[in-house]
Amino acid sequence: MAVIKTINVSKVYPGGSNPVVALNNVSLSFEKGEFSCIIGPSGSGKTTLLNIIGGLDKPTDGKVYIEDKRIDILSSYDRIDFRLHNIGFVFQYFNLIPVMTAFENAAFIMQLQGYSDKEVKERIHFLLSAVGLEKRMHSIPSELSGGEQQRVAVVRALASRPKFILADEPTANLDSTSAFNLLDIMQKLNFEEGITFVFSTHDQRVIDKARRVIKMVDGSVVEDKEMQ
Amino acid sequence: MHIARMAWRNVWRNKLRSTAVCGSVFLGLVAGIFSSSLVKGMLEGRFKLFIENEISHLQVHHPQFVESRDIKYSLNPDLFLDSLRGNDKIKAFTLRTLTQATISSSTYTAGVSVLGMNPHLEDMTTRFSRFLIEGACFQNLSSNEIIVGSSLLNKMKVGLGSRIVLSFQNRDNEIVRSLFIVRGVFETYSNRYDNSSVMVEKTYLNELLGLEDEFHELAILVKDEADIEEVASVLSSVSPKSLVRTWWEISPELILWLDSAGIFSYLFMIVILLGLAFGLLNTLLMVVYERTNELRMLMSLGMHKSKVFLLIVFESLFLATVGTLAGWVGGYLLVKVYANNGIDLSALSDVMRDLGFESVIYPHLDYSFFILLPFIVLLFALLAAIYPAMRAIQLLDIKL
Repeated sequence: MAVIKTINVSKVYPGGSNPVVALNNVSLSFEKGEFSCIIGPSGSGKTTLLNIIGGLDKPTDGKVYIEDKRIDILSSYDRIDFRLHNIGFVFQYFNLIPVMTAFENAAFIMQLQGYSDKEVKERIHFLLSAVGLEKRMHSIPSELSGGEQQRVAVVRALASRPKFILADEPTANLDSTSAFNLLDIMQKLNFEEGITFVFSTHDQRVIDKARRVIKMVDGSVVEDKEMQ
Repeated sequence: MHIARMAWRNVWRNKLRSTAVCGSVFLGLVAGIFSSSLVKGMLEGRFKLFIENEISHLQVHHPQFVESRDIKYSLNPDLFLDSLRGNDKIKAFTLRTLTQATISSSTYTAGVSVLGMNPHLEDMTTRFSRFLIEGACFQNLSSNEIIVGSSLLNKMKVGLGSRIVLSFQNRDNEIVRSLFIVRGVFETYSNRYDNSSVMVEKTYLNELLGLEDEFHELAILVKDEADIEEVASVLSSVSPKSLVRTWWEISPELILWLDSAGIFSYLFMIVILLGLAFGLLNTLLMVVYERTNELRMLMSLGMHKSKVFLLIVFESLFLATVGTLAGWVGGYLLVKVYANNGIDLSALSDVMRDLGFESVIYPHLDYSFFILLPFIVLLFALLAAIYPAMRAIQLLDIKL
């Protein structure tokens, strides 16, 4: 069964006499364990599609299913709840909470979900160690490099075992080494834990690692191919 | 719990700004606590003076004297003396003869209130002698000596040993004139009183007025204020036709004064707190606008709006709490320091005397106000947080 399924999803931003069509009848599905990326020029609708899949925005038309749950009709409150328990996010600008340590940032979602301190501690220690940050757990974001911050963000997204992770240009602000390291980590987690990753990116390094590449232009999917 | 922890750390992200906000809460509270204590101290000091030096705890008059001030309505002391001397709840009492007169020197004439008193009894009751700044009290009973207020004396351009004339009506409504020698000069805390009152020996005044041993006013000081009503009832039973009144019946405005001190404290504090609340609101709005993206991110991760709201409210409460605790302790210490030493307003002594206050003020902490104050501050902090918190939620149109 598809983890994510969009059926004829459109998004139109009303602009008076010149409405902007950000998405135009996009129908896609992502299976469990996929490592996919959405590419395309700026303004092609990649981020809008991620917003709608992630329940951050509602489509003007069409349906969005996460497993068998239609999320485009959920209330704002239910969508927040749904995101909390089902979707992990990795952002271009890391978006860690500046006043919290790496450990606390990584644990943030688990704590929102109400996991016990013991469970949180075990899981976050395990994941931070897995991404090589066991010695930086008590550092605040400003003491971490960009690559380390993004690894913390990945751990935060992964910690509560979401159904899939949406990553919006996760390597855009990283140097090559950090970007490769991050991609290796995500690929490893994808293999080992079967977590579904969907990226939007311009970064060829990400595209090279992806097993499926979806190309968008002007709000429409123009190419969807499996990679070797 | 982690929301509270996050809020606490957020408060100290901008240390300078948070310190400024906490500092303003601190100063506001110190100012509020100190000013309310000052007002309470002033009014209670005035109240104490009024009781101890003017009206005492109880007064007894002929009922018609109170209405007409006609000297013929006097009372016989024999009715009361046994009861007064045998009552161990009474600290002191004094008998007074009261009349209105015209006082004249060679250059000045004015209307004055004349108080005929027994200096010993009067001093026991009102500690009158502490107001004597020159000369002395009457040396002999039935002497034609007079004690005059300093400002009146200056207007009359006379001094100690000078002769002045009092003119008044006696019991038979005949005009009586008598020469008095200035024996002493007093200066109380009230310019108005000093300008309009003179004191003479009671026996001598009674002779001039055609009264025997009678009096117009019996003023009583009790040892314990709780006994005032009991003593009043004893005196009423001794002489049912006399008018026995407690201080709050004589001057109900005193109660109003004391109540007004409390009301003033609250009003003043509310004005301060409104200023602080708007400062806090402004700071929180800045925080919300600065951190809109971060708050959006928190919501995109699954943090409900209610928790974002709570986060802002916690930040407001923490800011206010830090300032409040510091201000609470600071205000308390400041009041305590001045409560012992007093605030010397001698430079304003003329103004203070015009208003009837002593020139040294001892601030007095109103404990009920003091204990309630932090809760009022936190309530204002809570109210100040509502708009920024709601604004934060309105701004959270989340997108990646």
